[in-house]
Amino acid sequence: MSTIIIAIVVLASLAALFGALLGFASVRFRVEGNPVVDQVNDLLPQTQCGQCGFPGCKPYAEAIADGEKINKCPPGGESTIQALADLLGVEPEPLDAEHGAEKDVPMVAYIREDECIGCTKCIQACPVDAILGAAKQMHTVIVDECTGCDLCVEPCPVDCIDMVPQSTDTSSWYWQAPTTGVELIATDRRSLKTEAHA
Amino acid sequence: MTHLIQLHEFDGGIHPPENKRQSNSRPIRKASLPSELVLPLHQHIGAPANPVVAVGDTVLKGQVIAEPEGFVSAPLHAPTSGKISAIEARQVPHASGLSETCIVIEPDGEDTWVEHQGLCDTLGLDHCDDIPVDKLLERIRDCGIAGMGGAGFPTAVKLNTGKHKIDTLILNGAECEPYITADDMLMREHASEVIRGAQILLQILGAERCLIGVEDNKPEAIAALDDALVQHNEEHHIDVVTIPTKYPSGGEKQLIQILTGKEVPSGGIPASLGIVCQNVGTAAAIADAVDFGRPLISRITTVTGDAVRDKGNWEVLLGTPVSHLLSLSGYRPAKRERVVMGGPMMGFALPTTELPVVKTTNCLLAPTEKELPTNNPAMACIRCGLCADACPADLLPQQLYWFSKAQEFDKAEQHNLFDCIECGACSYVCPSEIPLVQYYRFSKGAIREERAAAEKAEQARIRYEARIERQEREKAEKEAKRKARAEAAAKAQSVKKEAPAAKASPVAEPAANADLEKLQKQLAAAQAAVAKTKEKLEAAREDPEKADKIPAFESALAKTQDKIKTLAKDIAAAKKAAKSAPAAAGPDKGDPNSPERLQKKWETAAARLETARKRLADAEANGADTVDALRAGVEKQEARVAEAKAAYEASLNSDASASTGASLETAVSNNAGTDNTSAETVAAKPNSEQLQKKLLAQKDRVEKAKERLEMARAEGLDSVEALEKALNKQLDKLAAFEAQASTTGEV
Repeated sequence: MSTIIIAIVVLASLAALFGALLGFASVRFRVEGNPVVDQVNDLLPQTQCGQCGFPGCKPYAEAIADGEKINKCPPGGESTIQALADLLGVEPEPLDAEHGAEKDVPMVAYIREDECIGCTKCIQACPVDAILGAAKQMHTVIVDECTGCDLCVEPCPVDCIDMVPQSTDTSSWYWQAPTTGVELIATDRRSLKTEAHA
Repeated sequence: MTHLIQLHEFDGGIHPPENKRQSNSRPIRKASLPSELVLPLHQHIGAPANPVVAVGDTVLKGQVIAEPEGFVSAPLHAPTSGKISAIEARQVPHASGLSETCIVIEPDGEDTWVEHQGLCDTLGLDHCDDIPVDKLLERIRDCGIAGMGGAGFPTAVKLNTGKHKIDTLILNGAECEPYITADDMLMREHASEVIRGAQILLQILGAERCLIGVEDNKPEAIAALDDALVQHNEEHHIDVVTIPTKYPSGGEKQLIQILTGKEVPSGGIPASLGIVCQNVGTAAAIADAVDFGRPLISRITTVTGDAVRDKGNWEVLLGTPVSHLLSLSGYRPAKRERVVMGGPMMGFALPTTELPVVKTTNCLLAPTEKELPTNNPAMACIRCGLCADACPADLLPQQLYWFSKAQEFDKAEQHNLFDCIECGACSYVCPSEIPLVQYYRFSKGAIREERAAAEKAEQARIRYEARIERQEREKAEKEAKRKARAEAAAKAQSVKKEAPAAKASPVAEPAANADLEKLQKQLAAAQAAVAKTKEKLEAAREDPEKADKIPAFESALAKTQDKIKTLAKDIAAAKKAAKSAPAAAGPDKGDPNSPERLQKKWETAAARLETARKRLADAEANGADTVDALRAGVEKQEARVAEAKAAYEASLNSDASASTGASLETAVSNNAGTDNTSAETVAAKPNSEQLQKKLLAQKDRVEKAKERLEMARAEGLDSVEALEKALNKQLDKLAAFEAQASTTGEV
């Protein structure tokens, strides 16, 4: 009988000890905010374009952490979807066409400056403060800061903003992958050569 | 040689046919002056130089034409005397074939040097051995010296080793790539300069010894260097080391391994091992710069390949077109012309021969198809593993190939893709002729681009968050202000309530006044529009090309005048109402809308505007940070003046406006009668369908503009004015189209 009591006492005290330990740890090492949101946000392209239906990348990251679909980000495209799928351990899905298509080349906004009336509408629309100007003064885009989000195009009352592809120079250029044709083995090539000669 | 150097070996490597005999059998020749020299601003690694000359300037040989921009950069000097004929984007010798800004010099043929002298003389020292290190580094930087082995890293930056203590200087004279003999010939003919350069470098680095690594296929160069060592009495510090011929022993990391047995860690620099490696050509250029003050304006370039008759080495001014050098060498373009800049292993085919020789151009190879066949189409990888055996960096080329091909860049990076020196040994041995190096270059580029994108995303995120924070702050400030105002108003109210004076109909007066003001504003706007339209009409009448617009202007004019009439009536009615109201409220106040009062108002507003403008000008001159606030103030004041003026004029016109409006109308309609006929005859019959389309589009736009305006008004944004302007413009256009459409319809 006493052994049973001892066992119960020991187990109870162990349970109390570990419970206290865990309780202390949960208070002491509490993580502020949701770390998943930050991880997701780091993977998003930060164009802040709102094409996903959320007002910026962070809100979309929060939504993803709450179970929103991961295929609503056209600027990020397939690679972002893949990265998000890897992070969250879900199946990657094709990009949701409803939110727009992935662009082949990165774009930047360009203001046709002689047509600008200086209304500041685009400045208010730009999520990253990449447009410079003042009321009744000509506006211009800081190319290095522009994320190509398109948001300034719609509010312009005189439609003087174009989206143009980002230009490449010798420092941003790089070799493209060799075009892979049909891969042959040596004997195939000989026959091809003779065909060509014929 | 005075010391016995224990040589080591690096793994891998290949032994391609050397093909050096063709070009190293005759001395270096001096290339003639071409008709123009094209100098790209970006001939080195780092930021492009910044031009300091203008088109039309005359420059002397050796004069600085572009200054370095930032720390990692190099200046540019005029290779000969002449005139700057252009500073423009030209195609540069780069694998991309893209254009970059170049300075173009038209030589005058005089080849007059700018004043230059050795550093020792410049500083006025007696002993040229104790020039301060910082002066030496400054001279090297000022002379625009960048690594001449191929990469073109600014030498002064590389010599600035910071915290690393350097004990060994290695001069790279291996020149392992087939065909190229530029360094070989330089060492044979300018051995003394190379040794002198080594002395200077040793002084700068404070190193104890210098090893000059030369492959054993250059016995003449080794002999010349040994002689020069004796001449300079430097046998105790500097050793010429003969190393076995093997490609790529001239790679920096490989040469260090051969000579010292130490391996440069992945991602590290040789300085962390206490070693600095420089090309022999760079050493010679340093000697020239320090001893004679000659900047880097020429280099030795090998021109070889079976498509040229006269193979050999040329001392060529930077900026000389490749075509000029080729024609000097008797170039016979083959059917499939192909000129390679650099060697057959690491060089790239030039898109055209109208490209300049730059600081890193060590060889121009013009092979025939037989000599250097173009690549066959790649076959499948058979996993033979030859590439792994050949790789001098001990990588797994095959794995890197699979990862690059599948674009699994993170895995490629894990397999140390960035340790690949792109020597091409793997592609050389590949039995399937897979262009492996191109895959690696692609992956490296894609990874770098990804990194740049990530960096930009981070920056965008920071800016976005800063913006959100700012917006929230502004909102909070506004809220606080509004509260403060509300409190103040409440206080004032309570004070008023305490005063027992009873007021009669305090509501009617402001309401009536507000109505009146609004109407008067509208009237002023309409009058302005009439004036503008009239002006346009006049212009259109004078200019036959614009004749087709006349009816549009007329109809617009008529419309606005109608508006004016109704407005005038409204105003008269409103005034009556307003008059009765204030009369009831406070008889001593008089009529607030009497012309005299309004005029006074206008005048005081104008005076205030004047002072505000003065203040703004003062602030702008002093660069005070209140400029923005003042400017906003001035704008407001301007608006007030305009308002006051409009009000005053309206009050003057209010009685007469109805009649003037009518007379104006008749006058205009008379004009219209005469003009309509002429317009119809003059105007070509426009395509009515197109017109219809335009009209519809314009209507759309107007709708859109109106919507926006409504929204802006509803939200009380300050852009309302701009939007109104835009809307007016759109309305004008619409009217024009409508008129045009109606005239075409009639015709």
